[in-house]
Amino acid sequence: MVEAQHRLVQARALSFAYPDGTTAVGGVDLGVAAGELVVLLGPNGSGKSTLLKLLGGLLAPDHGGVSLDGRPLSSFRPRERARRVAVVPQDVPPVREIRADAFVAGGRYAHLGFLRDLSARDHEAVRSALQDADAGTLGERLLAELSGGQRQRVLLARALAQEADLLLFDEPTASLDPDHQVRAFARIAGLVERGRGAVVATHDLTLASQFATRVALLVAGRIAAAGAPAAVLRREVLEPVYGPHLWYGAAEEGDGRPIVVPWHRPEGPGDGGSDG
Amino acid sequence: MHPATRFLFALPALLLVVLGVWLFARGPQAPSGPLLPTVESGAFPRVVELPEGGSLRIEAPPQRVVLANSSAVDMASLLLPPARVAAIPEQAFLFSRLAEDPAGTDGFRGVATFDRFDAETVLSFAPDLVVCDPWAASDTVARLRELDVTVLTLPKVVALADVLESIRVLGLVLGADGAAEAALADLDGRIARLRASASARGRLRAVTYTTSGAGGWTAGAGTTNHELITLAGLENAAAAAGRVDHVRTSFEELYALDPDFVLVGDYRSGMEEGATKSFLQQAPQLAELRAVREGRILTVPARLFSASSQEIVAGAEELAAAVDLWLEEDGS
Amino acid sequence: MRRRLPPVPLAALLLVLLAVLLFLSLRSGPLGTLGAMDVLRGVLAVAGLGEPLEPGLQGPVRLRLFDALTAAGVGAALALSGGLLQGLFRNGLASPSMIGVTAGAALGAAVAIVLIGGYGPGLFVEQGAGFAPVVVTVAGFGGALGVGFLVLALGSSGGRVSVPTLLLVGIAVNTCVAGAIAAIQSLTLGDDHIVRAIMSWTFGTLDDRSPYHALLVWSGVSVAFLMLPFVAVELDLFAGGEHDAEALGVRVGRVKLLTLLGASLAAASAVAVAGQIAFVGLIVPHLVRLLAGPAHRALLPLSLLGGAAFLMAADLLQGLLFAGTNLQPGVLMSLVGGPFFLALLLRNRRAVTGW
Repeated sequence: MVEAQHRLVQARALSFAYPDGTTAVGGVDLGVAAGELVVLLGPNGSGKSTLLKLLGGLLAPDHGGVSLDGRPLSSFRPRERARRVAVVPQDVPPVREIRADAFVAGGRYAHLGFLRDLSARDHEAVRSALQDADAGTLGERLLAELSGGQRQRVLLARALAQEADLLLFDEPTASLDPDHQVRAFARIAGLVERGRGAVVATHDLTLASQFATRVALLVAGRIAAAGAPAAVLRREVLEPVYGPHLWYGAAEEGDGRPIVVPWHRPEGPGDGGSDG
Repeated sequence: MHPATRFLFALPALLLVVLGVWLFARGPQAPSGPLLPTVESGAFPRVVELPEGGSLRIEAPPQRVVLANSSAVDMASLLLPPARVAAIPEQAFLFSRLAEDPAGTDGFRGVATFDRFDAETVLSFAPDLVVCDPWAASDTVARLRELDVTVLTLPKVVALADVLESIRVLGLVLGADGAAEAALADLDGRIARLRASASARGRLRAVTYTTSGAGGWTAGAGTTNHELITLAGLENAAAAAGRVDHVRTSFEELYALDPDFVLVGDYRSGMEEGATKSFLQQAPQLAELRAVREGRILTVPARLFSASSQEIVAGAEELAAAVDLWLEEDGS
Repeated sequence: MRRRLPPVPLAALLLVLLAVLLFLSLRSGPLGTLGAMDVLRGVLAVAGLGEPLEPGLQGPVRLRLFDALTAAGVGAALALSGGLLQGLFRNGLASPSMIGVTAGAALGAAVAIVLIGGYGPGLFVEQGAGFAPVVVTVAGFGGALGVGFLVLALGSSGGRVSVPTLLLVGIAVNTCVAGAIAAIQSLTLGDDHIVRAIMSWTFGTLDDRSPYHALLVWSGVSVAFLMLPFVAVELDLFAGGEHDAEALGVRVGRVKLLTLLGASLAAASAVAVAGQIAFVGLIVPHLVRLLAGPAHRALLPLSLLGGAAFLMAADLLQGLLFAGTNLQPGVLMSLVGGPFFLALLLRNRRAVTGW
């Protein structure tokens, strides 16, 4: 636990229900400090996306609240909030004619004055954001022309152009090949090392294990387990949530972090049980 | 934002300011000059009081008159030689007395025509007077008046009295007082003759019926059709049943009204009988309607059926003659 | 990558085109053709700068000037409205008439006309009708805005606009509004004033417009234009959906409101002076997007200029091809607009079947 550390963002007793009454997030406490990469795990429909939107201030919680630097997130004006928190969606919008650098410049919106065009400083921020996201050569391409991995880097670049110190990612590796998945996480981890805070929602337990400072396992809108990867990514914790079809191992290199991958077990106990 | 783009933002505002300043500087339009005493006949300039309020100042007998509508052509052609008419609408040759009275109106064949009634077209005939009915485009009339063109808007014609009043006013405005009096006297005579012979037809009931295939219409009280029917000495069954204005009517209502005659306008002048008549004859639902069964569908030429001029009287005369013919044959 | 024209030279080009079209509109008509100097002096005289020409020349200049200014204003208003709506709905098929905003304006006006018992014979000029045009225009604006919000509310869910839903909602709302107008018309057949006033709002004309028409429509354009600094950049960020825009710091609610206000106001003022004219609001932003790219900061002002030029050119062309006939530009626009809309759908057929 990192209670003593200065928390960038802190959610307390956060609850949110859909208009039809089903609970999406119920009583979540979660804090992220600068230099922390928190990975949100959980089955489909466990409330990861909703929790990210609540942390990003895009949804207003029914109960509880989120504070940023000790100040309620709801008291931030939208641009002020966007200068602190960036939300990175899964994929770019299907707008064909926009150039990647113009899209990334959208991240500068929170820094623009009324009726002001992009300044030299904004252009510089866009350029270096593209650079930092390994997208330096993509600036003049149209979004429609980019591959999945390239689009992911452009999205990251836009978040970097926002110069926010909290980055929220919603399944950033969902449509990437293994190589790009690892690179994407390494890139995020690199940013975190330089002092940002990040929350990443993903289904990839092994990547979580390798890159997370902390892991939170969300089940039915509540945090079922949280802590260091090695503490959460264990069969006793995961099997009740994900079922039997996982293979557990440990990395041979480094500090031997857990490896958990999907693995079908035909004769395993409880096969054909929960499919959620 | 690029400085020039910012200038773009100012553009409409600039135009607006210019227009606004101009409108402000122009101030409210002054009313027309001091009124002369109303002159009923003879001298010009004269001021003619209009039936619907207001007055019109006429400097000299107009020599280049633009007639905007068929009813204006109907009435003005009684009072004016063709030489003093600058232009008439093309449709006047279909829907005014020019359509069927070539002998009396031959000179009008040579008058210039127009299809589109807009200010510049009208101005191109260099008119010193424009005569229109109250349905003429109000914006066009307003523009013409702004450009100092004298425009006479005739009163709305609902009843015969409106026609007589229109002819009187038109006579004053055109400086054709004498011709107007003669025309009115002629009309009075014809109306009197119609009324005198009305008793023979007095108990017969008629309705008008118009359809273009999508439901039928009939004319109640307060319509020129009503005036035409009553002037011909018949009773308008729709008006008697409380109908006012042109109203939709169903087959069932037609059966309920059970008229002696159904009047239809013939909108295919000079050709085979109109669409409404063949519809009435062929619609199986109407086969049992008495007037249809007995073949008492009377066709009135379209220009008379829809006239809002002295041609109502001509329509009534034709109708009366047709009904009399029926009565004769019935009696024989 | 498609080549694009930079916005500022394009705007300059359009301004020149506008000036040329204005000159051509003023030059000839049924009253004959005027010389360039006469046109210039005539315009200056109308503006109160300099002596008027002889009456035979000044008259036509005056008539043609306000027709042309009104046509330009109506084109500008419709194109601006279309550009705003296409940005708001994130779809190039949105337009004031498709969304039902113009029909809504006609309905609002019709209701007001019935309530105050007519529009007065001289639409804007007669002093007796002093307040009626204002009331009717405001009601038209209300109707446009109401329909806009209705379609926005019904056509989007959770900040996402579904295109088929939007199109269907547009059809349904248009049908309802047309029905309501028809109902009002049938119920008021007996009152000539009301019938004529409603007719003039539903069909309209670009003939014989007055300074007040020009002023009214350009006021609408100007007020709508004042919204642009608050929405132009923001509409670009709407491309990724409302949540994405919000995450970037956009006040989504305010932008939607202002955009809809501006689009409704522009469309309503266009309907107020010229009736419903379809197609301009659809095609002009489309063409501008092809030329200058999708960024709204360029797209919207250029649409305004392009719309003004487009309708003036259409009016001019109609005068050349169908001189003396009663064919109105609004009718012409519908005749050309329907096939254009179809072509647009067919060209994007693959995308359309994926909706």
